[in-house]
Order: sequence, then C-alpha cells, then structure tokens
Amino acid sequence: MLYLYLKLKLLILRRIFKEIRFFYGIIILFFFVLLSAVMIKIENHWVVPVTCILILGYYNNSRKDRNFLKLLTNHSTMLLTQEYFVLSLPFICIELVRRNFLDSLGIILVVFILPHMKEIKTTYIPVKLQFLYKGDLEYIRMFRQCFWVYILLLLFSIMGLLNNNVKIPKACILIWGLLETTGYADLPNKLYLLKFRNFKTFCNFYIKSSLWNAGLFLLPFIIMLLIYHCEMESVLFTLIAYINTIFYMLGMNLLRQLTSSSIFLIILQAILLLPFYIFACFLPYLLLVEITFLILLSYLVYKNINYLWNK
Amino acid sequence: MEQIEINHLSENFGKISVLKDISLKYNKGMIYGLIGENGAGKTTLFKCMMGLYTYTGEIKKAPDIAIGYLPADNFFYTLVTGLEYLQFCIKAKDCKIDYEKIKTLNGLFNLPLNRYASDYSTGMKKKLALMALLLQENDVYILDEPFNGIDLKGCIQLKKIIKNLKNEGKTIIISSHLISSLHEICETIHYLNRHIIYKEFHEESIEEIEAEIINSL
Repeated sequence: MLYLYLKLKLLILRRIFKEIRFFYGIIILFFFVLLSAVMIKIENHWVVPVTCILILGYYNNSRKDRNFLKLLTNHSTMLLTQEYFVLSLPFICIELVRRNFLDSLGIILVVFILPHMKEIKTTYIPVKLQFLYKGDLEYIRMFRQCFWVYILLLLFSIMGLLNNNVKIPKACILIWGLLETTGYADLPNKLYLLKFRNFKTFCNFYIKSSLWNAGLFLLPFIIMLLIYHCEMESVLFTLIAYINTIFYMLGMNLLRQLTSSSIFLIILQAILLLPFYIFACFLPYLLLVEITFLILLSYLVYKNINYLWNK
Repeated sequence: MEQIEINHLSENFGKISVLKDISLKYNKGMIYGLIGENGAGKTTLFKCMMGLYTYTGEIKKAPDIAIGYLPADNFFYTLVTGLEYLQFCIKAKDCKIDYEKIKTLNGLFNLPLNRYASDYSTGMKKKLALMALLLQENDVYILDEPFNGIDLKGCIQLKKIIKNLKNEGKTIIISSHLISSLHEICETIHYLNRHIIYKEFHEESIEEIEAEIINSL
C-alpha cells in the first residue's frame, strides 16, 4: 500500500511541476535548495527539528484524505507513519550528519505520534464587526482569524515603546500589513464577482474597503507612536506604511483574479508584490512605481474578467 | 444471515447526543433504507459502522466481509485522473484491475476517465466514487445520499445497479431523502428521528410513511 500511495503522490508532484511550468518549477526548486542550505548551515540545533515538526504537524492537521485512506486500508495509521518518515528523512539525515542524535530521535518519535493525533479544529466566534467596511468578507474573515495576533502586536509595540525601541512598533506595523493581505490570498470565486454591478464598482468597493480597514487598524499604532515618539520620521513612516499596505492589499486582490493556481499566486506575490511592500518602506519613491504597476494590473484584470458583466 | 448487527450504539459529540441506543440488524441479500431529517445522525451512524467514529455499544460484522462506503462528500486527490483514482482504489483493496469491467461499467456511467477527477461535476464525482466501490467487489454497500447530484438517467441506472447487487446476494444500505426511490428498491426502511430508530417500515405505502414522518415532527 505504501508503494502504491507514494507512487500516486509522486505522480501528483510530477503533474504539479508540469502545471506550474518549467520556469516556476525551477524557482521552487531554487527556494527548496536555498532552504536546505540554510538548514545545514544554521548553528542552532533547535531549528531543524522544530521546522520539521511544524511542517509535519501542519500537513497532518490539514490533510483531507484521512477518512478516504481509512476506508481503503486497515493500516492507515501505519501508512501515515511511513509517509511522515519518508518526508522527515532529509531532516533526520541533516541531524545525523551534525551528530545531533537526540534531535533525530525526537523527530522519529513525533513521526510515530502524529498519525494518532486528532485534527485540531479552530473555532471562530462570529462576533459582529460593525466597525469594519461592510461587505469585505475576506477582510472580516482575516480579522476573525488574526485578531489575537493584532492584540499581540499592539502589546509588543507598547513594550517596545516603553523601552524606547521604536523599531518594534514599526516592525509590528509591517507584520500586520502582511497579515492583512493574507485575507486576499485565496483564489476568488467568479460567482462572488457577479455580486458587483461592474468592474468599476468592484474596484471602488475594494479601494474604499482597504482605505477604511487598513486605516482603522493602523490608528492605535499611530497614536502610540505619536504619544511615545512624536517625531517627523515616525509620522512619515506610518503614512508610507499605510499607503504601502493599501497598495499591497489592492495588488493582491487584483493579482488573484489573473491566476487559477494557488501556488502560482504565491509565486507571483513573492516576485511582484512582496519586494515592493518591503522596499517601499525604505525607498518611498517606489510607491510611484507601485501605483503604475497597479494601474497596469487593473487594466489586465479588466481585460480578464470584464466578460462577466457582458461588456 | 446477518452481515452487520448493531447493539445499543450511542454516539455523542461533546455534550450533544447524536445517536441513542441504536440496535439494528442487516441481513445478506437485502436492501435497507435509512431516512431522517438533516442532522438526524444518518451519516454518523454510517461512520460508526465504518469505524471512522468511536462509539459506545457494539457493532458485530460477519467474518471476512468487505464493506464499501460511499460518503456524501467524496475525497479526490487533485491532478489525478478518474482512471488513476479507480486503479488506486482497486489496488488498495487488493483486487485485480479488470479493464474490461471498468470499460463495461463506464458504458453505464459515461465518465471521461482520462480527465482529472477533481474537475468532475458533483454528479460525476459521485458516479466515479460509486464505480470504485463496485469495482472493489464488496459484500456490503453503504451508500450515503447516493442520488444527490445525480441526473435522471443516472438515478434510474443507479437503482438498476442496486437491484442487480441485491440479486448477486449483496447487502445494500442507503440513506436518502427521496422516499419514493427508497420505497421502490428497499425491503426495509428505518426512520431515524430524535436520535433513535423511531420506526421501521416494511409494507407501508409512500403516503403512510409520509404521514408517519409528518406526525412524528
């Protein structure tokens, strides 16, 4: 059964590479090699086992074929253990080469425990969020999922400012901007787009939504910075971060209309939007380039989805 | 001859009781129906029978019987064609792949087996999962809402297939909201209501069954 299962998985992997095409396949391979090199080079002996356990844990928790496999074989737990062992082999090898025998033993132990663990389901209480821009369901969903992170970031910022470290709230603002954009990381449903009157309404809706939502959650950070560190540099930074976040959210929202593959969307985001987001904070004139890019992107999306409104 | 015997089965999800003291017997070569409101516990009962849920009580199965389960929502790996899915399901159950049989069966279902299964329509997905079950040569078939999403022709064929399976001596357990379809093919229909087997129907007409359901609500 393991041979059969791995054969199927390899077939899927081969097809994924075929689907995403050679160029993007090479990019993914490059990132994979880079990650492996970092893993080997890194000196802290906790990094490799923790990374391995986190990856396996996420994979185990998010897999949807558990019941399907249970129906096919009486030894599904054994099958999952074997699969996790194969997946963790590179990490175990790295640890063995570095003579961290205890760590590799720990990984093997987790491999045996994971298949017995039940799926951890997170429940989100449907609290009414009247203060958010109404209708932007992606943002509402993101906020319900990441509310606790926002509170943590606020706390970190306060702690940073109390210790005269202005870099911490700035980093928190950037992290929150990144999290806000994850709301738009899912592929859109064409039926959802049909809820809009036309492409113009669609654009207006998301511009207003981004302006309101991003501004609303940036406000506590701005107030904090003004109270504890009222300098022109901080004010400028928050202003740039605000514009930058709006551009990133809009860019992501447009970009996802152009692709039908989640992997492709992640790659495009990493190549096109993320560099703008990071570097524009330090080189504000990049915002001008970004706005040109967004206009171009809007045109491409218009060409791509306007048929939905029969125009 | 009993294929499956359920004694005093109960199932709770936290504090919510889903099934209470269920006792049932499923005999060889019979077709059984299971009806009940949404959330009555039909799928939970099936999942308990398949060992997907833990439960209190007892489920006895005849030795060496193969049970095939068609869930209401089937799982399909992405980027795997219909044929590859069938091959995987057959091999995983240690059966031999009979391409002639696949071809004959697909003559009924008309599925594009060389296309990715995850791209199929709801009805096509159901047909493919059912095809896999039929090719696995099971002794008992548990079908959870098999008529859902299937077109008119598909429903007629499905009923024919179920009757043929019965003639081959297989046991079939079907859950559905289509009382007329169940009435047409089932010898016994169990009505699951308020977490218990509320009533068992044998010879009653559709009108009588419907009246009983309405009165019970």
